[in-house]
Amino acid sequence: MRVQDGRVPDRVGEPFDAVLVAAQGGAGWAAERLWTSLAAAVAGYLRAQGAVEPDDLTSELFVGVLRSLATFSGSEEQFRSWVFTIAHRRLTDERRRAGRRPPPIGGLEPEDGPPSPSAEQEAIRNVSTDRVRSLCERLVPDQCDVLLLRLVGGLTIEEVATALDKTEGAVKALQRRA
Amino acid sequence: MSGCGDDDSEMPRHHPLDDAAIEAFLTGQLADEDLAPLAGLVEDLDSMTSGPAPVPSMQLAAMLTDGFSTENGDLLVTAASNVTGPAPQAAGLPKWRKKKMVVVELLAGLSLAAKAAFGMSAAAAAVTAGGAAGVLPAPAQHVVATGVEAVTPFSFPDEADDKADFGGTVSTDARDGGVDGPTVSAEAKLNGDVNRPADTPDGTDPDAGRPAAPGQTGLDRANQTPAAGHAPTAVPTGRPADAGTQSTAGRGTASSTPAAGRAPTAVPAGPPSSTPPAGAGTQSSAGLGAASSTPAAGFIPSSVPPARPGR
Repeated sequence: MRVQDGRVPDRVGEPFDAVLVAAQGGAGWAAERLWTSLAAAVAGYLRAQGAVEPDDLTSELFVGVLRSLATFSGSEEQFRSWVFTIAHRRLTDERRRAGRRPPPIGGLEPEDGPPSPSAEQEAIRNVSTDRVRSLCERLVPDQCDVLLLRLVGGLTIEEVATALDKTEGAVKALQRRA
Repeated sequence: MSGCGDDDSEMPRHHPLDDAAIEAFLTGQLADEDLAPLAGLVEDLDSMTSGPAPVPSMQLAAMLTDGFSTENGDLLVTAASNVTGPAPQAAGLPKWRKKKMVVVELLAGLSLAAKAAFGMSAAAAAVTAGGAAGVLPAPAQHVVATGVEAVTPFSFPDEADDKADFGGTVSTDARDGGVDGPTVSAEAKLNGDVNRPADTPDGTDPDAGRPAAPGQTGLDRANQTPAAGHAPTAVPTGRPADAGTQSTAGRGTASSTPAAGRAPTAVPAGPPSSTPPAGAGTQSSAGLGAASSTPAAGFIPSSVPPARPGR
């Protein structure tokens, strides 16, 4: 995310073009670099948006991203924007499915799920998640989407407008009212 | 009381942020006190999105470990709301119908001469293909094979060529000591059947009554062997012995030998199947006749005993 210094750090660690080409050729190591550089941010975005299973949705999302990787071309920032746009659309689909089929009450703990982080990290994350969710609930959904896509995904106004199927003026208006 | 009733202490004043200020904040380049609540949001988001990546699912872990294929796109990355369904597909004819229509349209566009040439070419191709497969009638097969072999390096099957060299083949086999009489006879008969002109319209044998050509009788060939001195001196007239009439010819042959006086005057007719070796129905009489023409003719029995049943 570009919150601290206004730049999206080079998380891949190697020239992005080389990693992208290798990943497009199906190299597992390159795909792992892409996964490692973006998975936490995508999972955090989905968690902030109230996804039911953000980690599972993140994995499912990346399976589709890797299979469609041959269709992408661009820089690392553009790749990040591409992935977050896809994440937002998948989230929208999940919300529509949940509207037709209510989620199970109480939730389910996966038997073979990923190991949870440390208690301290989990506590901090839960507090942060609650505050973000509380703030987003006071906003219009579109305003929350704009803020999270801009702050977490690092998308520009144009990219947010594309992801949300809105005009750039509408996105700026949502920012101001937030 | 203020004229407008406004109270600055009751209504907080908001400094409207322009787009540039908001953009500066969202990109981390501006710290405004009025955006303090959002600054807290930024810190919370940072804590939510930092840290290690979540553990991938089994499917994704396999892709990260073993690699994957990117040949096919995946609709998973496309929102269902954006999927407009399968691409519109124009209704069309089956493939075979399309091919047929292409051929018909092609022919329709040709002139009359071109159509005639096309038909002749197709017919020639069919005849050539039939010749290559060897399924044409023998005369047609010979014509096609001869024509094709004259203009191409290919060799088509032609029974006429095979039969023309039949004598040479038998001669070669004879020099190698590998002549098998029954086999040669069968092949000769087969060639004769094929080479022989078609039966006459009235169903009679065209060779009936035709005398054997000089040099083609067994007696002539026998005189060319080392045992020529023991060969009979004359050959009865008439066609070479055929099945069913050989008994008469054998008797005639025996009568013309030096041992003619001891030759039986009649050949007992035995059951065709009881005379060893198995052969034509009255071949036993022919063997008796041949034996009578040898130097041991005086020791030959006067009759051939009937064979025992079951042999």
